[in-house]
Amino acid sequence: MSNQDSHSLDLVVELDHVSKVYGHDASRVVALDDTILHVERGEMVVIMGPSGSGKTTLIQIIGALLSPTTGCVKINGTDLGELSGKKLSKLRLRDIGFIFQNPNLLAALTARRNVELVLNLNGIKGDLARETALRLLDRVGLSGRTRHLPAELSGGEQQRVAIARALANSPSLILADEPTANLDSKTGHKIIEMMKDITKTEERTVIIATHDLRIRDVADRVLWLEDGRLSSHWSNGYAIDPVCLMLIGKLTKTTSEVEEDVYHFCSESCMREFTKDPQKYIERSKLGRISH
Amino acid sequence: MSLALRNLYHQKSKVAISIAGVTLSVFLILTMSGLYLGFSTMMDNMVTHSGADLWVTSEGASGSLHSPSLLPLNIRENLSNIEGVDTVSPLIRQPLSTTLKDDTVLLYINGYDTDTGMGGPWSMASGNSDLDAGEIVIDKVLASQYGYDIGDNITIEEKEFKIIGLSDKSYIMIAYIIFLSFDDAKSFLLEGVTNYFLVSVADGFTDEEVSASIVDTITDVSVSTTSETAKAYKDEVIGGFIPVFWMLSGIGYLVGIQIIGVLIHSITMENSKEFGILKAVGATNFDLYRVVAVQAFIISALGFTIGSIVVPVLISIIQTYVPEFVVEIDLQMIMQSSFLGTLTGLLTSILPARRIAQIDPALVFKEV
Ligand SMILES: Nc1ncnc2c1ncn2[C@@H]1O[C@H](COP(=O)(O)OP(=O)(O)OP(=O)(O)O)[C@@H](O)[C@H]1O
Ligand SMILES: [Mg+2]
Repeated sequence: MSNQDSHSLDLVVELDHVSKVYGHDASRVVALDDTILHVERGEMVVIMGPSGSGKTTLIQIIGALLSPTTGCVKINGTDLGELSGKKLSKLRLRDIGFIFQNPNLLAALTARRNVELVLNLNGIKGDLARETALRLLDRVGLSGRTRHLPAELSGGEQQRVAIARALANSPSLILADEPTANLDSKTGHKIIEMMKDITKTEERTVIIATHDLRIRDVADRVLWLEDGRLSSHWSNGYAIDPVCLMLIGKLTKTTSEVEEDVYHFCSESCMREFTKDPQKYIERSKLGRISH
Repeated sequence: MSLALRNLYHQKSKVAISIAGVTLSVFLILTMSGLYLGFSTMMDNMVTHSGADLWVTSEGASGSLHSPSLLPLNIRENLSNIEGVDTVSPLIRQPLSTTLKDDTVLLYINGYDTDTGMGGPWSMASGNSDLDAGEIVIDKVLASQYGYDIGDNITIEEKEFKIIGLSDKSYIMIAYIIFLSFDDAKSFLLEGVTNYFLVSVADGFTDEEVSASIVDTITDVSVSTTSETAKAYKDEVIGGFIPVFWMLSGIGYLVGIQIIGVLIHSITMENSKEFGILKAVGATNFDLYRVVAVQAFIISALGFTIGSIVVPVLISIIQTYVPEFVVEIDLQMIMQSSFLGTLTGLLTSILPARRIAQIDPALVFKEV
């Protein structure tokens, strides 16, 4: 199936005419609609879109955790539709590193053992696994926290352990779904910087789904997901929350009018924050405004 | 491996409660097998410690405890004269329902020839067994239940005896054995008869040869060997209870396995999100089954091992206060129960297999 073109381009991810439909009849939801996405090795792609636009669905399909209703998914040239459940597990273990919104660490294991575990699953045992885990934790700036249990780490530290775990088996592809959504903006920023650094220095392919606009700045390519369709532009139906810089639907009820401009907020708390000092946030939102 | 261990460590209190439960099941298992072994060795001792090789009874009344065997005492001489017969010794073993301190009790009169000592007490708890006329050795359980001690007098059917010793392993569930000299015991049986003649075989002769000679020479007698007699005793006294022992001991295993199964199931349920994470990052169902199997193995090995150490101590403590608790356990029994328990405990890891297979790793993304 793979044509000359895709080989010469060294594609890590190929989604061709992928659709995903959840449910039937009245509860039928088209989460992805005839999506095409090709990602090259070493590329960092950010997928943005409002809540419910299908970002998580897309990440799950690329990550071999969900099979599409129609269409073809290839990772490193391998058609996922042709693999057994066991082979898909192996592929996730070796070729893909996952970073979730929640760190999703195992509560009973220390930071080091959380990283070691995925090495062990891949047949790497003993000292080698231990040293690799320590090196990776050092890489994410946690050399002093290797013996801590997840409960003894801050949210940002936990997310860094998750990054180290995602890198453990040197996967060619890293998939992240809202990696900064649970973090305060400063910690989130650190995580973004770290992911960018890893992508550039280690030549990994990274796909991040988010509605955190700051991630846009570090991406090679930003794609918009809207109503299950990907595009490099976004429609006028969305706005940016001037406080948290999240992308949100304009239909939200939390709006505020300042000098004839309407501002939209993701939540009541962002709106309250805005009304304290509107000018400060208006300046910021202009800087972050997306051209279209 | 390390994940399995750490998950268990994370749930220490649950694991501890389960291990206590498994210990109770080991108690049930060992008590039941121990009761069986206890009665079984007691029956054995009753026969094998007699020093006899052959047991002579009236014809057809094979050497069983409840046999209505009656033999005239005057054949003793004839028996002694048979080639290959070394010693001949009469033995009375006769049940007697009587009243002790206003209570009806079932006694077994064991009247033996104090000159040869054959058929006398096989195990003494205290005192001595050197019986003279008017003296008696009684079972220690009988003594403790009815408040008798060495030096006391005991009245049986209006005859008074002085207690000179307490015997051990002579309590057979419903009856207590008391030891008298043959002459004293005669008064509880018809004059001029005995239940058995115990025969020891001289060097250079086999049991079979001598047994054949006895049957040829003396009419109306049957002869059985010591091992045949022991088997007959066992069949008679505990044979009917064997299914009960087996069933209760089986229930013991079921209880233990049930406890382990519930723990394994609950730990798996509690960890199902973590299993989802593991699946998402590339663990196969098999990887997860292995974690559960290791957990089941650790819990059952730990439970049955701790049980095997604690229970024997517990049993011996109970025995000092409750002499009726005639449980006898040996190392082989302990090893068997912990091996069987661990093996069956391991099987409980099959229970959550379906649940593990159903865990959807995609759910890891939905958790907030
Ligand atoms: N398991 C499911 N069953 C039915 N519908 C689903 C399921 N998962 C997602 N959906 C629907 O599919 C659409 C896309 O969901 P998805 O989770 O991919 O969106 P998202 O862009 O990740 O949203 P968010 O930013 O809130 O995380 C939504 O309308 C959602 O309700
Ligand atoms: Mg999502």
